[in-house]
Amino acid sequence: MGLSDADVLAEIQKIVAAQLDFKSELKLDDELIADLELDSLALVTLAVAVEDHFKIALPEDGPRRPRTVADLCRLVRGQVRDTS
Amino acid sequence: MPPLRFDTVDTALRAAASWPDSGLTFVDLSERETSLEWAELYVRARRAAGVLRALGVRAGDRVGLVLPTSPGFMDAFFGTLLAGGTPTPLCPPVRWGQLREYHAVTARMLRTIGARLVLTDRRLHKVLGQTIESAGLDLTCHTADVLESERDGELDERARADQIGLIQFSSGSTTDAKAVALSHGQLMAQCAALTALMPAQDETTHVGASWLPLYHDMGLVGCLLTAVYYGHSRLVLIPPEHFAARPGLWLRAISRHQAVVAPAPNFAYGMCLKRVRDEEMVGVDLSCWRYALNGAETVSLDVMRRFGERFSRWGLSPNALMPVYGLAEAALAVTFSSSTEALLGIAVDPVTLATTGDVVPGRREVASVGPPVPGFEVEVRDEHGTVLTERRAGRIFVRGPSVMIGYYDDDEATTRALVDGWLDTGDLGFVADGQLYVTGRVKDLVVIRGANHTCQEFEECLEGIAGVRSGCAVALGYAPPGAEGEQLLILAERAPGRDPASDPALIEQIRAAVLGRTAIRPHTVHILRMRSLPRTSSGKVRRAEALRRFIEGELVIARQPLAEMG
Repeated sequence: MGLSDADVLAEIQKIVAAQLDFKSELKLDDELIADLELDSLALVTLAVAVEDHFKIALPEDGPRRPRTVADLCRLVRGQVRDTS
Repeated sequence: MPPLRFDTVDTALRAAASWPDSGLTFVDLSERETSLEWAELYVRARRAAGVLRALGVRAGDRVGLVLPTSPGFMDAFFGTLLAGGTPTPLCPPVRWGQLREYHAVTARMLRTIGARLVLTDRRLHKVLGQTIESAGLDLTCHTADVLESERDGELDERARADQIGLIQFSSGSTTDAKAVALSHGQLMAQCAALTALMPAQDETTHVGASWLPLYHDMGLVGCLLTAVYYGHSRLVLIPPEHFAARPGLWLRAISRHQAVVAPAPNFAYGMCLKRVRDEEMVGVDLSCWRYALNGAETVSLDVMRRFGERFSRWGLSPNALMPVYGLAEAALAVTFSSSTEALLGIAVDPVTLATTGDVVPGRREVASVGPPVPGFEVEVRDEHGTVLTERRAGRIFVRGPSVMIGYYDDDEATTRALVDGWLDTGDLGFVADGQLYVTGRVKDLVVIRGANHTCQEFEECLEGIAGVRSGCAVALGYAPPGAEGEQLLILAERAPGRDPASDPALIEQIRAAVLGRTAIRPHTVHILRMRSLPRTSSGKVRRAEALRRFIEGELVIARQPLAEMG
């Protein structure tokens, strides 16, 4: 049994609302920097909060870094599947 | 001047290793703790030194460290010292940020110090590899876990007091950071001063708690090296990224370990106010916290007072709130609040201060950062170098036993900064009743969360934007009412022929450009009519004046109905 994209998105929406004070609805194609306007502090807060919530380790940087909300969901689903 | 108990960092470490129940405690996001006693740290460091020697590190070599707060950092840092080398901690990349700037900035730093090798961790290894390769640097990059190998024997070199013990990249600005070279003697002098200001109580362990990054002087020198210097000490360490996600971890750790000292920049106190929930504070007792130091960026009295008020509920004493002031070029602290007086502030008139430099009553409240640290002298001078009397603002100069050797590989900058042992801090301020008040920076840096950004760094992002008149945008730091510390303000003149109705779209473009390249989000962006920004006779924008006019409401922000002619 795995997590659907919708499940993951819902969880990330809650995290973003709680940790980053971000109340608008997230769209899958929202870019973390360009659309959500996350700065360096917000990015690290999000990364740590998502890792802690799902009990996973997400890639640090480089080409695999998540650029959009959809990227982030996909990464989370991949890691959760691997560790379950 | 306080006497030195140790003349080098390694000597202090050997002494610390003899203390039982003393060392580091690492706290993770779930508040699980692992300890690393000084004795064990020393053993690991000797082993790491053996590995580093085998990897080619010779006496005097610089080793770049790009490591998170972790036992691996300690192996790398102290191992480098015991191999006779000079550790140079560097900032890791912004998590999930764009890497282009990071590669350029980091490569420049590694080239400046002529690093022998770089130590990093598994997660960052690939990124640092790219940094090195794309810059064509001739050095190798290793993960810190190789330092745990026992194959290469041990080393335990003894440094000389006049030898470089640390190179720290300072804030001239984040893009133009200079390599501050500090000797062992200078580092120990700073630790001696801090231990004199915060004396250990009787036979008890001196406990500190820090989430500060270890590539920054307040965390590295102020917390780590000072804890080693105390010897009979416990330093609780929280990685900065964990503090960012859960600021409450810090306050809870202070309580759990009954820490006496915990320093942080102003924005961190604001973060605690905003994000720590009462539920996280159940059972927390902050009455132990004698030294709630606030340094590394402008102190907001408003934030400190609100912090003191809210957390008094859990035992925090108002006398604990202590602004401090210092800079990497002096190893760390230059002034330190008096422990007998609570937060001091003077309300000055900003216009008079900006024009004549006189301190007269007004509405801008400036915090005292205290009298000079033992062994230090502070002078305020005008632009000709004449020493000014109290309540006259000017450039802050300092002299004392922890002032740097100089900037590594930049004699010209060193000569400009150090004259007759006096260090030009680049800051502006005044002295009143023997206490220092810092009012600004000579070079107009924008300090965001303790990092000194140049105005240019942000302005450059606007170059390619068609709607902004070329060369007619200015980035400024200001503290808007109600905000938690210094924020980024962008004022940009509209390009000729542009319809003011398109300003909202232009503002979004500006925001995206700045955020994308610097990972800093502008707080406020305003579009101005052409020729609104005040300039010098040679055409340069007068920043301080622009800021003053903005604050006073003298800049016309509203849209102009008339057509603009080039």
